Amino acid sequence: MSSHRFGTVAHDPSDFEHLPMRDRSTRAGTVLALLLTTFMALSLPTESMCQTRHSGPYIWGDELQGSVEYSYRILSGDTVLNGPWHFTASWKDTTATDAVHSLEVHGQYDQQGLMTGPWTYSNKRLQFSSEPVVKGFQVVHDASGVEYKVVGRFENGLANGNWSVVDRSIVDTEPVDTLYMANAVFADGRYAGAISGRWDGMRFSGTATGSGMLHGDWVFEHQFSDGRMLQEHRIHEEGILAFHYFDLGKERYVVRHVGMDNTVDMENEIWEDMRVGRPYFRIIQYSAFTLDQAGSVAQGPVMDSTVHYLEAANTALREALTAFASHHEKPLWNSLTGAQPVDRPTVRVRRYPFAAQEAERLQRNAQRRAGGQAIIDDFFNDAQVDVARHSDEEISMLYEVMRLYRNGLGSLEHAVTVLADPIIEYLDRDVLLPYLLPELSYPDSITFSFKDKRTIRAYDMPPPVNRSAAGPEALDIHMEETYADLQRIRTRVDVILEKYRDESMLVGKEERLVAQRDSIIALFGDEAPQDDRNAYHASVAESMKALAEQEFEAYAALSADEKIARIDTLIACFAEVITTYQRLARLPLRLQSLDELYTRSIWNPYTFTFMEERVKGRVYQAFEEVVLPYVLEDMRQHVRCGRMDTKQDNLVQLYRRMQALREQDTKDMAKQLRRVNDPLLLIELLGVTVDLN
Amino acid sequence: MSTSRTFLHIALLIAMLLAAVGSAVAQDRPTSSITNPAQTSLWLGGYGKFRLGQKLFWDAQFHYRRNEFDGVQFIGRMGQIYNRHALSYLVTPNLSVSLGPVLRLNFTPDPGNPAFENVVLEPRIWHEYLFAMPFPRFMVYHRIRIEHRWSRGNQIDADWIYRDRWRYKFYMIIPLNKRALVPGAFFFTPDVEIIMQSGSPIIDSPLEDLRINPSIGYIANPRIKYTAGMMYTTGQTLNNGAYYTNRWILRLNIYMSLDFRKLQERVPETKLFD
Repeated sequence: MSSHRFGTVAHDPSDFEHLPMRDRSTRAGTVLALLLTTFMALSLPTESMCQTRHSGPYIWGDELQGSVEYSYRILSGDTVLNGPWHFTASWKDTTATDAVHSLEVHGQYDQQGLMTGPWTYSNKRLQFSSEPVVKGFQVVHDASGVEYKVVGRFENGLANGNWSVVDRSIVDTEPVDTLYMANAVFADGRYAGAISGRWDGMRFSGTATGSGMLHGDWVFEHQFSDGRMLQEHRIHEEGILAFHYFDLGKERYVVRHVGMDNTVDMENEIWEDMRVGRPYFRIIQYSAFTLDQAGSVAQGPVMDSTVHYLEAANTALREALTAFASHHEKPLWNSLTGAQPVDRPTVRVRRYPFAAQEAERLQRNAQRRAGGQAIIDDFFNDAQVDVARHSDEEISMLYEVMRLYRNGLGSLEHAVTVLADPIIEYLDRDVLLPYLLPELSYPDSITFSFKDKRTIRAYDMPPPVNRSAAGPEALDIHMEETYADLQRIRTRVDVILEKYRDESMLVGKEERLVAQRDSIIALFGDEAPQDDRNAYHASVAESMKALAEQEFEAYAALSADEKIARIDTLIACFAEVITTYQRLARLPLRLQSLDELYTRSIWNPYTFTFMEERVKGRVYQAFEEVVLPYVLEDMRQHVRCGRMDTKQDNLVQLYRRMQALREQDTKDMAKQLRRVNDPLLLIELLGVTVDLN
Repeated sequence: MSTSRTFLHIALLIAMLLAAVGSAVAQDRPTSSITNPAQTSLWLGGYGKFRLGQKLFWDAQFHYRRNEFDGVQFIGRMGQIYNRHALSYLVTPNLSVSLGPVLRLNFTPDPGNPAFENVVLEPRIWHEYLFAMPFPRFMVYHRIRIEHRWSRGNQIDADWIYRDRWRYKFYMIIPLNKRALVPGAFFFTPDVEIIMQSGSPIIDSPLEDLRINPSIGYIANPRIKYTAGMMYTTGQTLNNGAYYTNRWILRLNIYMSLDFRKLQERVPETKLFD
């Protein structure tokens, strides 16, 4: 706090001791009144005028911590920057350990807290380039690196006056080379006047009107390696690109912008202001077609080298214009209060509003092209296709068709992509379309070689696309039919390949089938001894063997397609039979466990032995003597594919039910079982869930 | 207890008995023994062992005995009725120990003769040590039973006498139609028992009885078995050791073993000493 605002004069009471008491009090009152009056007179105006210095930490752009020093004052309770403002920050590079970054921003604020006068933004990246030297109590290094520096002026918070931006390299503390440089004149925050610069080896210059519109001759000088100079001229009239040409020595190449209006001559035309930036440059690129020296329009887009120069000029201009306001896409001045953003200059372009559904149609064409291209890429990357085209005539023909589509879609890519760009609304599509579209027509028949034999087949391909009869509908139809045919081809090829895969797999599957059949015969037959074969196997052996033999013979008589359709089912069936064998092998163990479950052991004190007796004898008897034989007989009688699992499950269900009954009260059930011999009735009384017949 | 030690004890007991027999013979008696005429009897026995706890049983035996009389073989007159009870404790799977009372009713040997009381009581206290020896196909048992008996003859005003009985019995159970003693098995039981007695009334008759009792049986289920056999017994008479009894006894028995425990205590039916 300023001392004079709050300071009071602290007099020593002894100063008044030599006066009489009354006089002393009168004089003291007078002095006090004078002092108060003086204090009030001084303090009222300075309440809004006095400045306070502040220094301390500061966060730049929400992420960079540094220190700041500035002056401010309090106005109506608010802090208002006023006077110098200086921010510095240093930080280590995250990738190079010996590199250091620094940022320094400084300037002035006026009494209203708005930026004023010269301001400087300096961003450096430096690395040590010498051994350390001690100076006083400091260790000093020479450094090399780069500096990005913007120097400009503000007035009332708006850019005003001459501005410059420079990106230069520094070697051993000395600036040695300017990489990029731009100068501009601003008025009230807008470009107004000359703009020039050197960017990436290219010089450019031009002017902007006071309203920030590009105006006059904008010159871009492209330096060739052989020393020649290519000058590009973009003549603007109040923001409208009126004329565009290249001069190479004495030769002039005029660039015609097809579909881009360059004169305001109709009342119903819609003209809009647009910031100079990527969208505008895309308009220029899409519409740019060179005129040859004879004055005729070259067919197709501008030649590649011209595109390169156009792009270079556009990039330089865009980078230069944004360099005053941002660095590495981070705004320079937005972190500060009291400044309006520095806007890019503007141009005027005519808008050709989309017709109904037009934008959607153009987007759909782009999607079809992308989808079609994906199908084509997938097709040609499919190794099976590459192999199969040598063995399958249809795939061989479709391979040739896909090759035609690949070329066709490739030639349409530029046109479809350009038309799908929303910025195309600023170009006259009717005029531009013939220049965008290639001459594309497909043959009525496909000529291809298959097994060293040249073959020609009729093939219905999409209608042609050509400049003379070009229309948006023709392109739509062409893209729709192309995409549909590509999908159809892919599906068809997949079907063919699947068939080949099935046929190749069929061999392996048949080997497995034969092995299964042999296993069934060996398991259920008498020829080979099986350790786990039991009486239950014997009871169904003939049925199982007959099933395996008959099904296999029936399969062998099928055609190839029928075999493909049948073999999986048959393998599953034979697997069921083998599983049945395994379950029957486990059946004695299960029955033994049931036998033990339904047996209890009782100590006989007369014999000193344990004696076993059957528990729930009537239930167990019904199971053992009637139900189990009936279920096994049902299995034997219904040995057929698709039912084996069910029959096995019957045994499992019966076993589980008997397990459950052991723990349940079966007194009533036992009474009902008395004198019942009908298997179905017993199954019902026991509550067994089985699927018979 | 091991099998060898069991045999050792049995051998010692037999040696003592034989020594006693030798001393009796040495007394001044007829120069040769006299075997009484053979008598026939019928013994109907009901045996029950009721399980009260994990190792505790109630042993309840009942005999209905009739004797030859007046020319009627086996069943001529009422012989005895006795009730034998004990608590048996299963010490190991091969040894049980029992202790309990007996009350026997001795009927007059001469029905209608007023010189005899029709019925006299004979109380006893008995304890028993039963050893079982399992073999793969049969079982062997050694039973030592000791009884302390108070008795008197049926004669009017007969005095009470007190004796101790020393009994050793060897028997087997051999299944005939099965490989083990299981329900449905018929079995054969060779059975020999020697009964010695001692006490002040015993002058020259320590060998009270030698019983040879082969029988055939059938195991109906874990709880019931039956036996039938003809037992031959001989032994010294109490009043004169030179006289030997000579009896043929038809024995028909039923053996029951029921579990009186609560149902939940029986489950699970694990083996007793697992």
